[in-house]
Amino acid sequence: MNDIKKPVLRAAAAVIALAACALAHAAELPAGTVISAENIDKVKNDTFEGHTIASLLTEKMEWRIRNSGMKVPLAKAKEIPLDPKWVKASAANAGKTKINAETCQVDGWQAGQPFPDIDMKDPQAAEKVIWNWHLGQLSGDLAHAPFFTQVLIDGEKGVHAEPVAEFIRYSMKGRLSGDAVEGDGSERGRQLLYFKAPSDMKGLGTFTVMYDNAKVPDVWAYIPAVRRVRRLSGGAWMDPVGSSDQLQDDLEIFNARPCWYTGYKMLGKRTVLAVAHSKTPLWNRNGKTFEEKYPVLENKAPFWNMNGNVYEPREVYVIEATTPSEHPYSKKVLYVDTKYPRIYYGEAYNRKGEFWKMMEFHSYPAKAEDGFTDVRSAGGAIIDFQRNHATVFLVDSGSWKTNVPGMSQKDFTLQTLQAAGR
Amino acid sequence: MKKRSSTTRPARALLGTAIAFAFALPALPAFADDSNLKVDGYLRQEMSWNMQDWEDTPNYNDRGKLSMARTTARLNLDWKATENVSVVAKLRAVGEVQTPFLRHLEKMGANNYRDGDIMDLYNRNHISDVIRELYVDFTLGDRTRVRLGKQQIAWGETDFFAANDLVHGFDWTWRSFLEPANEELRKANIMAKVNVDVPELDGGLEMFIRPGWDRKSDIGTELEIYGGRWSSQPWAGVDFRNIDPYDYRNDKGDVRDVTGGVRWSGMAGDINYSLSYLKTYWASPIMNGTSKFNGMPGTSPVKTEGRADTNGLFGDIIYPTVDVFGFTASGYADWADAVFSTEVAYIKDAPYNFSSIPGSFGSQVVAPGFDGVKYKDVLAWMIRMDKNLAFTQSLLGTEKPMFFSVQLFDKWIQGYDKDERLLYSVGWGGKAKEHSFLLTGIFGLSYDNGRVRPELVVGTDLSNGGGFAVPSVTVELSKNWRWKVEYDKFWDDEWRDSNKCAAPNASNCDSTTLFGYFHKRDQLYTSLTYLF
Repeated sequence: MNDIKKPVLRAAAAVIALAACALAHAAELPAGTVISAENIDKVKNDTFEGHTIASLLTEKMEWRIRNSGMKVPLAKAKEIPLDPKWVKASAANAGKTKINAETCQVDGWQAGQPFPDIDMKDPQAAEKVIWNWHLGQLSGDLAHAPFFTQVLIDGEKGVHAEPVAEFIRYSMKGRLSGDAVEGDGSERGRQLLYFKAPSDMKGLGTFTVMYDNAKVPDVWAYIPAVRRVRRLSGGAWMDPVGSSDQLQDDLEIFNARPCWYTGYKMLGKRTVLAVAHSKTPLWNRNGKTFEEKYPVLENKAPFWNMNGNVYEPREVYVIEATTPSEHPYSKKVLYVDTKYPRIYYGEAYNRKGEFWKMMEFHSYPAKAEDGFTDVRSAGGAIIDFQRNHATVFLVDSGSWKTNVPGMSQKDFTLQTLQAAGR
Repeated sequence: MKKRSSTTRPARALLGTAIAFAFALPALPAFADDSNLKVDGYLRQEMSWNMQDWEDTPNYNDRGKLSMARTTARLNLDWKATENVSVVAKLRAVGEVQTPFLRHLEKMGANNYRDGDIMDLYNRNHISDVIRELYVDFTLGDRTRVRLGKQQIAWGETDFFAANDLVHGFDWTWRSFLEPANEELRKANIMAKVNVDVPELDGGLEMFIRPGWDRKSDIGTELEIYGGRWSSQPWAGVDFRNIDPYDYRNDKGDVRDVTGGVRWSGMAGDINYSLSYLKTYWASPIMNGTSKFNGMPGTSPVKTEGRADTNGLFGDIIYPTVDVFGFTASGYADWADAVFSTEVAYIKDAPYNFSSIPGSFGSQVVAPGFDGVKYKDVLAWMIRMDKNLAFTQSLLGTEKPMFFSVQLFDKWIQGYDKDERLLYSVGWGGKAKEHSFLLTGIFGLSYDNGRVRPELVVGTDLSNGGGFAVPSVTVELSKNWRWKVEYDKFWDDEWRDSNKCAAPNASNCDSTTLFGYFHKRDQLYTSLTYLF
């Protein structure tokens, strides 16, 4: 018996000694350290704010660092300031709200996030987190980004298109200024999108009415070449946006009505490196060179890595969302902040179950015109690894305005779209 | 007839091109800054080749001949003068080179009503041509918007066939069929337009008035009756104005007439709808036959419209005004995952030329249609379905579902009487049927993140036979460069054979309808565009 145990004990002792040795060499990395393919093996067991680097990287992040040029500059975690109005409205939902599968609504929800307390043991925990994202974002009642670009990037050749557009979203429900609901309560919000460049897209605009039920949005487009508005298919939520790599469903990683998906699974909680206090702007529209125009993108193949931004440890829920059978993806894995509704990463898998796309969004807290604290997207990348192509959404943050005074639902109608058409 | 020397033509074409570049160059850096002046546009080089030997250019092989080499500069200026006032200008300059094919048409007689220089048809760079649009936009209060100046107004739903899209005529000398951007073809007019939003009723009112200050040539749809590149078979090299010039000051339709319209558009539940009334010029040119030949043996009496007699020897071309009552609707149908649209235009007293037996002298010696005008109420209607077809992603490897659109268009003549022998168009013997159905389909694909976009547009005349197929592919070469290649294929059941139509049988030798006009007019087209 002893003869058998001795080699095992010796081996175990050696392993413990090695581990102890490794821990003895593990260091707390300073902010500003950049994790890259060159140093990942060296720093993997080091820590940052008490977490090992290995634990702060998702499997796909690590894969990107090793194989696709991603670099992750470390930054200290900072609190996201949560607006008191939103906190109050969210707290008021505690114990009063319930997912109604039949109507595809959250009964009892008024404003804020509908499920302020997520119990990991709750079988609906994942779905509730998604509803929080869908209804309870810290986006303000009116978000207006006058300039953003959607850079189309070929992984080998670089940028091949950079259309410029304007975006306005007006909340009709869950409002935190004035009445919580405008209109008859059927609408969740209205959205206007105008393209400004290039010349063959300039003037193209869309007007979307999103509903607070299972109904697909109503969408209209003004088409300058024929000078008229045409109704578009609202059932296109699974289709790509224009010629980009993102589906309508991928706008800010998850854009579907939660009930359109067939199920959600809570895979757990963990801490990952994500951009929650993004540098701004990520797009300088007056820039001449690549570096001037896209301050955080690395001008080196594959050109879509936002290596110049700052990544901080964020605690996230990891959720697997199962798509309907006609969806191009079989599932999405989402990384959602546990403190407020924000999705940092999404992984999309094709129908064969193979890894297909990765989505990464960078955000930052900001002050609205009326003092509300909102959280804005500074940019985001949707990377199609099977086609070696990406769409990078970048905002001219300086011109963004939230809760602009003097605007009402009357300013966001089909007539508004027609009036803008030239 | 005075003709310009051949040395001046390339010079003028080059001048047009120079104008084009002059337009473009100062504009290049203009977009990105924060100024209140926004500038964009394009430079485009277009070329087309005949793909068949035309029947109506005897002793000349048209096949393979370069029919167009056109350089276009487009400049859009949008100046926000104050918070509520904007000034918009859309400018277009053209420089086209005379190809040997065009020279041949010129020799045959194209555009010989004027100075015989065929390039005058295409190098239109007078100030009123260059200024495609120029208007000022401003608001009155928080719900009223005003637009004053030369502008375009597009009503209705259909982009192919005009039912309610009758505010303007179209310039078919630019291209006579399937121009993808109708804005290039519309003859913009000087108008005042007022929009009043009525959100309380989920809609808005649009009213416009055209005071009649336009150039004569800016009303009505202009066909190439000058014998040029887009002339219809068998009229290559024939300038009809020699015998039937335009009459823009006819009592039935005078360029100085005040025209206008009013439209309510709104939402009824999930359905977009509009109701409109329009007083406008009938888009199709109408032959106002002369009465001078009355009383001649073997001819029928012709009643000249709107004046005592015509200016032209055989007649005048007129654009009578009509009243159009319109309705449109469109909506998304969940059950079909498709958008359905419809459009109805009731046109009061739409003018038709007709072919009498025996025909007038003009009809007997030239072509059907010189026998006078009859007025019929017409119900033009359209239904369309737009649908994204996902199966192409697996079947054809498209990056997104194929855009598919199918449209059925009809012109339904009210109080139809076959014996009235109404013509679809002067110049051909095809008699209008009570219903004229046209079916079209669009199949739009996309590959490589929009860098390769094949498209197929097909159509057929269900009532009279014939049709077209236009396969094309647009390639985004880079951020600013676009390249398009297109083939325009036409087929027909019958075409007008001039050999069988010598006088006095000119009015009863054929029954050619729409696609017979394009007999052997197939072309290969390509364009290279630089956007700025």
